[in-house]
Amino acid sequence: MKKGIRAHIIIAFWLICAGLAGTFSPLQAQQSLMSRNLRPTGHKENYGMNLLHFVHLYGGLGMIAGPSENEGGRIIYGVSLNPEVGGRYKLRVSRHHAFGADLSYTLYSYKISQKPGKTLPDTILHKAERFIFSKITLGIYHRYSFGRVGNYIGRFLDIGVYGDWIHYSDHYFRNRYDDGLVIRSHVSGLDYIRNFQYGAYMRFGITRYAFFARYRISDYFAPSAELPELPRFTMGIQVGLHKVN
Amino acid sequence: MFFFYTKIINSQQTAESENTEFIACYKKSDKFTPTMIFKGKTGLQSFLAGVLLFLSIQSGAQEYWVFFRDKKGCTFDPYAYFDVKAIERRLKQGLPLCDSTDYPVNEEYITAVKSLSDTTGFASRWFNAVAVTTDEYRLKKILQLPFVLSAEPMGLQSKLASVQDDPLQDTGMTVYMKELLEWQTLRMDRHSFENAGLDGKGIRIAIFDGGYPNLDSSLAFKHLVQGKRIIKTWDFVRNREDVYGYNPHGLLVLSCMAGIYHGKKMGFASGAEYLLARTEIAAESFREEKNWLAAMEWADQNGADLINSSVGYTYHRYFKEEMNGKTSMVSRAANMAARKGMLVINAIGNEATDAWQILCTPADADSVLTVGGIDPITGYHMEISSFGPTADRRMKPNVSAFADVVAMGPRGVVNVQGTSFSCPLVCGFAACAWQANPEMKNMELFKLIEQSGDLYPYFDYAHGYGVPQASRVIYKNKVPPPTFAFVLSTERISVYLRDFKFSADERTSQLLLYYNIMDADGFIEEFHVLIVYQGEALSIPLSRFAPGQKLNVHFRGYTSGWSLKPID
Repeated sequence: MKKGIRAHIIIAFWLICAGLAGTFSPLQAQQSLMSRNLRPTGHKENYGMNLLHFVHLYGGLGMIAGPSENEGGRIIYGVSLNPEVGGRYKLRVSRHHAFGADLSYTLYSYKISQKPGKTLPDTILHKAERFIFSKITLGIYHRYSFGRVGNYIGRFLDIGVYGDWIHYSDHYFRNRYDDGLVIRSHVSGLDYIRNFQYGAYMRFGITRYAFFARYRISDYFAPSAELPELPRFTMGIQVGLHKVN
Repeated sequence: MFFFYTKIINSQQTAESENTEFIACYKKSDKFTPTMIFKGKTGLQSFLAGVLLFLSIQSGAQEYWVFFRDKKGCTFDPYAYFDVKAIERRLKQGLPLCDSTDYPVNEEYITAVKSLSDTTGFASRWFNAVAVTTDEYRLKKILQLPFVLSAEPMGLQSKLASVQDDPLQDTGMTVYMKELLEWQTLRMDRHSFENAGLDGKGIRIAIFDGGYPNLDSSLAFKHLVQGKRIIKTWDFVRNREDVYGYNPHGLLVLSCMAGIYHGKKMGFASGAEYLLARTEIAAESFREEKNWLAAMEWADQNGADLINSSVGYTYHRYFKEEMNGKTSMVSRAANMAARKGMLVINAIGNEATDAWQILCTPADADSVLTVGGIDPITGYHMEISSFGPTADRRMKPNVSAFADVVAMGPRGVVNVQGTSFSCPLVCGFAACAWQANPEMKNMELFKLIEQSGDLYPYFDYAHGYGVPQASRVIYKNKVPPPTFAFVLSTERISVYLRDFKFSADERTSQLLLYYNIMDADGFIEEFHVLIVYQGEALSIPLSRFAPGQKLNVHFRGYTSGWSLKPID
């Protein structure tokens, strides 16, 4: 719409408003175009990206990395993944330092290499085999923000520890037989898995993007199972679901 | 890969002195592989090694200003350093030819700091400081040097104060644009300057911006190029003379001062001289504030009278409570420029509709003439134009101009929005005002421009004193006739307009009534703009006023106030 026409429409609108309002009260015939109150409200703004409190959702995708305990527990890298979604809280304690917590739902999917010598969870070779652990994770972290930033995320380094509760564990495997038959199987609620896990993590971020590395200190498998440990590292990227500016 | 490689080099520099195991491992081999970090360690040890590596990497990535205590042993010859115009400016305003802030930074100090830094950059004479890149460990050592006073982290990225769809694309002249091109200077009473033969001649203006593509070949600036009135250029991002490329924002801004489109002036100062600095780059952060400061000293050296800066720094580096004119380096630099006889004119910013809402820095500096934006259609505050006041409750903006203009882009005329373009309109206006009053000092000119505002002496934190009027510069003593009167009843204070008859033919700006309520300290607690259709324009219950509070009203050039106490 042409701006000149728009101006006439605006004036016409006000005229109609003025006419209507004038029938009730002469003073209401004036149209308030702009109004701004600067009186102190007593309310201190303390919620924001780099203010006292900040909460946001995030999603991420990690790759399982690092070696397994031995050849028996080898995985296939690149397709062994760790997607996650969660929420993050940050409490700013000084210009550069903050503490916070992450609560997330994470999925760990380990694709087991099907080569001779495999012992996890047994020596049987399949067409494909995967362990999937579904976890609720709670982490606490310390954040150091680089440079002088205002109410803005900027660049940061987080270091923290986490605890997991594995609420669902699955062992999937697929076999293809000579007659073309494909059978997919899975075993749920694995009794040789320890349901509580813990570890440490670090994250380097720029605004909403963060590269993370996570290290699992605890073992997945109960000692009595005598199974080789899966890789302990996860590395990937997380994206904060918040405004950048 | 480049990112990782670079960081590894940094980590080597940082960690070498700490003799970490990682470096020992690194030195044993000719070729680095990331797995070396974890060699011979358990998983947890590897993870912790990684954490330490990351910390050492990141601690080396910061830029600081390092301030020195003195300038011992430095000598300075103002006649060799300054352009003739810079000396003239000082003499004209009764300022000393030089003071300690003009002396160079001690080279020995810079060399000593350099040995503890990854890089050193611009050395500021004004602040006796040098820009360095170093880590916290070495910064502590720098701070222990006897001649080092202090250090502070450097700024992050800036924002160009404009909104533009595609400034490269010539949108052609629509009917609206033709009208707007006429009105962007007419609203500031262009004819009064034209009749007085004022076009900024003899005034030197420095512009700090992102680039000036095609300026040297554009017909709109032919008079500047052929008249050799682009005195100097410098690209502070790349340290070279050529600024005729990059971000077109600077070109758009310049056109609002000096552009001529088919014989029609786009701004006021087509006769002025120009210094063009490229200080901003959109793609690269961490640099601009340093460039801004360097450009300021360069402008001073080269005799600038006015500085137009359409750039501001906000939440990337600062909190709202720091917009006090004292915290940021650029604000302090702007105030320093004023002490050296220059007038800095800065856009207020376009954050009004964002969470930030308020002005940027250096628009918060008290010596900076801060320019807000007016909507040409409605005639009052443009929705995006940031609000004042400063964090220490000083009035900003000082004045306003159109924030929706016709400007010259690299490929033709375009319609652009933002306070970036209000700023050069006022800067060009200031050049003419200074040309008309050459005896004035910079802060006297500052006052004159405020007083030429069409709302003056009324002000608020959206419009300042309103849009400067050339007639008020030329005919200073013109007193507007009263256009309204206060009528007090037992319960209300009312405003009645004199001889008011509504006419649909009136321009919207002629129907606007401004009022504010001010506390005893002069701070505006609330302000409003109304459009009026009848004589009884405003009525407020007396119960809304506390003792000492004042109601200020402005209508059609006339301002008056009322308070529960007698008005002085």
